[in-house]
Amino acid sequence: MSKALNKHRKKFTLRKWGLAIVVAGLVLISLALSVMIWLSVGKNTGARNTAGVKQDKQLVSAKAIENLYDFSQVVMQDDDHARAIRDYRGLSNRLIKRVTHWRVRTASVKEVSANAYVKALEKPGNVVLIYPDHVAGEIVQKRLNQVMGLPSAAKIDRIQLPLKGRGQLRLFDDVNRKIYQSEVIKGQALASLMSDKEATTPVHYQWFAKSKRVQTVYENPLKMHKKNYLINTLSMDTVLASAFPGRDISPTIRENDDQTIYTGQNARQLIVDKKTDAIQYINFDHDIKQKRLDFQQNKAYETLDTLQQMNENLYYFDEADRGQQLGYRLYVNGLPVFNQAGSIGALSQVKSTGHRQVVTYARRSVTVPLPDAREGVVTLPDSNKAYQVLTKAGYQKDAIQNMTPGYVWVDSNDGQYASLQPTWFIKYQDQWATLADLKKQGHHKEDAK
Amino acid sequence: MNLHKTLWTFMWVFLILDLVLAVQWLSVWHTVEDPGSTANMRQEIQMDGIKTKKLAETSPEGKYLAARDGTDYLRSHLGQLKERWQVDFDNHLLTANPKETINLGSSTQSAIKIGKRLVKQSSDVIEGDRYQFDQAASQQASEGKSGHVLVFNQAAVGRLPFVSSRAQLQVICDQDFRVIRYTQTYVSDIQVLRDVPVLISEERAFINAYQYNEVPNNAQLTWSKLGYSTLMTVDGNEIFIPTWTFTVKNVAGESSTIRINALNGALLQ
Repeated sequence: MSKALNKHRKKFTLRKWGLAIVVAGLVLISLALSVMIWLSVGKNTGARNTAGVKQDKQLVSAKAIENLYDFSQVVMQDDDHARAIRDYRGLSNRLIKRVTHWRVRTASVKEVSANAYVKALEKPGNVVLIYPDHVAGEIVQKRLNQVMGLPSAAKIDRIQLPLKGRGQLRLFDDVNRKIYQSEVIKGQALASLMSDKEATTPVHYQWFAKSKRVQTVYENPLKMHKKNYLINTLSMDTVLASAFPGRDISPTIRENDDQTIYTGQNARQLIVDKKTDAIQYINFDHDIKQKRLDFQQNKAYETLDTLQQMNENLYYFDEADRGQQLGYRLYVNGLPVFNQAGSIGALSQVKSTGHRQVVTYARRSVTVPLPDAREGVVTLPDSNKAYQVLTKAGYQKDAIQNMTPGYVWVDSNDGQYASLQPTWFIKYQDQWATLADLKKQGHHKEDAK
Repeated sequence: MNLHKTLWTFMWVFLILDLVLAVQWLSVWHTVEDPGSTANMRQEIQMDGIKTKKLAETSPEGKYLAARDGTDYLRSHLGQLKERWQVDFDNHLLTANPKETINLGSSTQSAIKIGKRLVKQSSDVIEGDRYQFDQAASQQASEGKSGHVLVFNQAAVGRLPFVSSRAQLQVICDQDFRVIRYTQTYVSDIQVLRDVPVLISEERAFINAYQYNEVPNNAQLTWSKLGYSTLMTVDGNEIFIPTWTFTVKNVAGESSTIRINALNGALLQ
């Protein structure tokens, strides 16, 4: 009887006070939410008012990360031969735009022999988008707008798309000879984006064992125009403001015959070469916990953006040491520019080791092309002829790590314009040089072993 | 008063209030995570009372173009114009004054229709068929004037026109739509210097304009356009780049034009 009475009393108490408790709870919740909103808005305003050039005029980078890590070649695979598209950037963007609406399955992965790897690339009815070097799986998936189950740090060198919009979408990892394969469940065909009027040149693929990568071999000589561009020089004010952000941080300056050294209180240092205007920016406080390609490529993108190096025609060029060394170059007509800051190898480079990040870049760039009716045409030999020149000079073909047509930057007499001269560039013993320079250097010991 | 009923009322009121506050907090919280994000900038623009249409987020393509001043071309083709025009040149600008009354109708619509026809007549305008009527620019040019101005931009390459005073035709009318004069600038030998596969989107460009403090609070975006405007002159050639042009109207009804470089998002003066 007392149990029933207690139960009844509890029920009565709850009925009497339950509603009041609920209302009190709702009042407390509304107070808490109001305080949280007030604090959040204050934090937001504080962030906006934070000193610093970048925050005051925080222009979000004109270039998304996927456009920095962009393709350097597009190859159409017909039934009996492959053709490289000359003006590929617009086409690759249109292809990718369509692929972002495809529906694909999770990718499976297989490791294959070198022969099988090249054969897979040569499958007809596909178009292959080729990166200049490994790009992290995370960035590739972002570009394709697909969730394919790709490891974030996967090294992707090329993407093969079925022209009919059905079949297999494949991603290729040269160094590990891995192929990630994903079935296209639903997709619009790509063939309509290809125009018969596209200028193309016949190519084929060849496996290079030493560099562990597939080379695109140009079967015909390449006709290329010399180009003239206006030189754009970043002001030292802009260089310093981006390297030492914040109104309270003014660097100390030290000079010697060759360099001007700026040292900031924010663990940053800037070294400017007086002769070439090449800049070395050192961040002594850099901490990247994960030494993985995806982290390194993301971090490098942020750094280049902070340093206002994200020119519209700056693109990813190469990678070394698991992404701890990343190179970027200006591209003209889809081809890389060398000799930007006085030496063929000079480029925008981000090198991360331990707690140090060293970024090497140039104040000068070229973005504005000049009309010039007198631009000459240069005919580069086909790839095999270029290899013959090298083998005759004593180089082993398999010792060549990479080869690409590109432009050498040559200053005009008045220093206002840059003349871009087409030539072959060869990567040998981890250094880039022109075909002519390597030939001049003469006979070298065979080092393919 | 019945306490029970009062408590029920309070319960519903605070329940609705909590839902509203929760939504508010979620939106503010997201923006704090990334103050520079597009979502945050969109919200800031809204909070400043700035009204815009839905801005495109897609990145269009564009080109670097070069062209030469076409004044000599215009001079050499003056013979094709009817006697009814008195033509003068002032630097690059051709000014044609009608010797007789030319009426473009009695309304803005008829003026546009007849004006377009007039411009296309080779005996009235040299290379007139290369110009495209620009509704928004015409409205802006007519603002604050007693008469009316019809603005035509010279076609460039592809779908984008020039949006530059160096390649434009303006038909100036009085308040009764009678042509007072037209002015014309022209560029010739248009050359594509290079393609730019990715330009910044309309939304990105407007956000940049906002971040440059060029958009006053409570302003309204009245029109936007992507076209080619002059970057510089080199060796007698005009270099044109893709440019986003925005017109905003402030609370006092005054319009201003903002130009953003569509390649790198920089403000163009």
